[in-house]
Amino acid sequence: MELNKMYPIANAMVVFREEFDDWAVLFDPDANKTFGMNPVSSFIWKKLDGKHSRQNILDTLKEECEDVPAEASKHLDDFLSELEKRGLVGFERANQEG
Amino acid sequence: MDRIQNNFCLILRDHLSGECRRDIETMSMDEWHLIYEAACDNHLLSLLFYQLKNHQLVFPAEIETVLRNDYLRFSGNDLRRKVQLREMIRLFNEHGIDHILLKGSHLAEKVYSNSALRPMCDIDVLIEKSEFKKAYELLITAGYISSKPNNYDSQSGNNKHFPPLIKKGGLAVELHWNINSQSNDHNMEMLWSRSETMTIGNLKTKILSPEDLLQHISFHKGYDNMFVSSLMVLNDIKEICSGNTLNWDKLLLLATSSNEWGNTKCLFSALYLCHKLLEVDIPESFLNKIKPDDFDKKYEQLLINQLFTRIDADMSTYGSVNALYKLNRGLNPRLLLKYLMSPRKICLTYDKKYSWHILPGLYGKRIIEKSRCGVKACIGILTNKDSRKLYETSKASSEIEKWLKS
Repeated sequence: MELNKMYPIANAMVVFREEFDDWAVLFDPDANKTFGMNPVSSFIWKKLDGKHSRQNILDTLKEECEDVPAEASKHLDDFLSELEKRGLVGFERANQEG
Repeated sequence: MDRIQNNFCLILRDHLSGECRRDIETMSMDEWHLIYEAACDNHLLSLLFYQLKNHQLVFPAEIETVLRNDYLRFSGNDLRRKVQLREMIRLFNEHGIDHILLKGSHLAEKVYSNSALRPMCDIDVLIEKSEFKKAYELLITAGYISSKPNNYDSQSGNNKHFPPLIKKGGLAVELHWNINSQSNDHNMEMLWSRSETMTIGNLKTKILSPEDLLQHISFHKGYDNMFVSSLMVLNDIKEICSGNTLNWDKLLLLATSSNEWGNTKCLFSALYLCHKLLEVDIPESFLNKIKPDDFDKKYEQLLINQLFTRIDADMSTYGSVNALYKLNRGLNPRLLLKYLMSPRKICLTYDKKYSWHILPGLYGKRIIEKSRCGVKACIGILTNKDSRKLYETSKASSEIEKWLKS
């Protein structure tokens, strides 16, 4: 799958709770599982609205976050794949990019 | 109070002076571990993390990592609890079952602005006695399992709630028909009449009035737990008071009227400790009105010790040591009967359907079990330092119990 052409979208059933210090918790009621998220993961999660492509998300991350590592692109792919594997996110192929 | 106890209370306060801040920040790693243990014993790990961050205190990174993980775990559990609670309320509402959320659920949903800061180990709900069977059967249909299926109709004796109903992956639900062992039908009627309606999402539910809530949590922690590891209740009171909805005159009436709660010692103890340790603004005039005549520095110290008491044993071992201490003080026939239990209660304990012909067998079993526990506790006290410590804990708790219940 070409991630750059895909628009990740969060599973609407999953509850996202942003905590007081920018960390967050995801709760998947179907699986009855919870996941802790650091501020960067939370930042990415909030972009999973089906309107931002994987490349958009990476660009925004580089613009808005400090000390983004060179391997951020790979980390993002791994993260999205992990979310997809757990059923927390899906991908939509949109008819336009950016 | 020692440095750990003092600093732990300081962290829980809303405001910190520069001097207090310095004292907290200069604690050693070992002391931070003790703070962590105190928070763990009192189920205040998420609150500890929140307060440390909120006060912008500098503390060891190792502690921060552990506390953050704890916080996220509690927050996740809280999200899970919310879903479970909503499902239960929806079910009750669909079947017209009037209910009141008690203790943790009430506090987390209505009083705390961040419900992750108020963990709980079960969901307590008050149901009218007449609706009890219906509520029980609804929950069983919804997938709950009774921990004592042979005793679903045990509503006698001193029991104030049904044995917990359990659902995989969720919290236990305790259906109450009574709020404390001292309440009668009149008290309960009045309590229902004072209850308030609230909404969670689009679901309507009921909660106790703020004054009844304050009485209930103070009474529960004092009368049932002798304030052992009960710092959480002080924070609950802090949150209730910060909501500014308390009517102190009404509270006084409820506390002092024998037709209502009629217990001022538990309420006074909880409010006094809250005022003293967490600097919560409780009117001095109110405290003076309910202050027991025999309250002095000795009881103050005993109560503070109770808050930081750690019971390093399972409840069965602690119960045996406690029983041994009480029996050692005097062979009281009433106490012996209490340990042997009423016929209905013994059937409930062993999850047997109530019937006279099985009672001799159950009492025999109970006597053998309790004798074994007693002997084991005796040997422990004679040979083991931890058991001797437990015996001392029991002694202090008994002294407070005697005072609170006098």
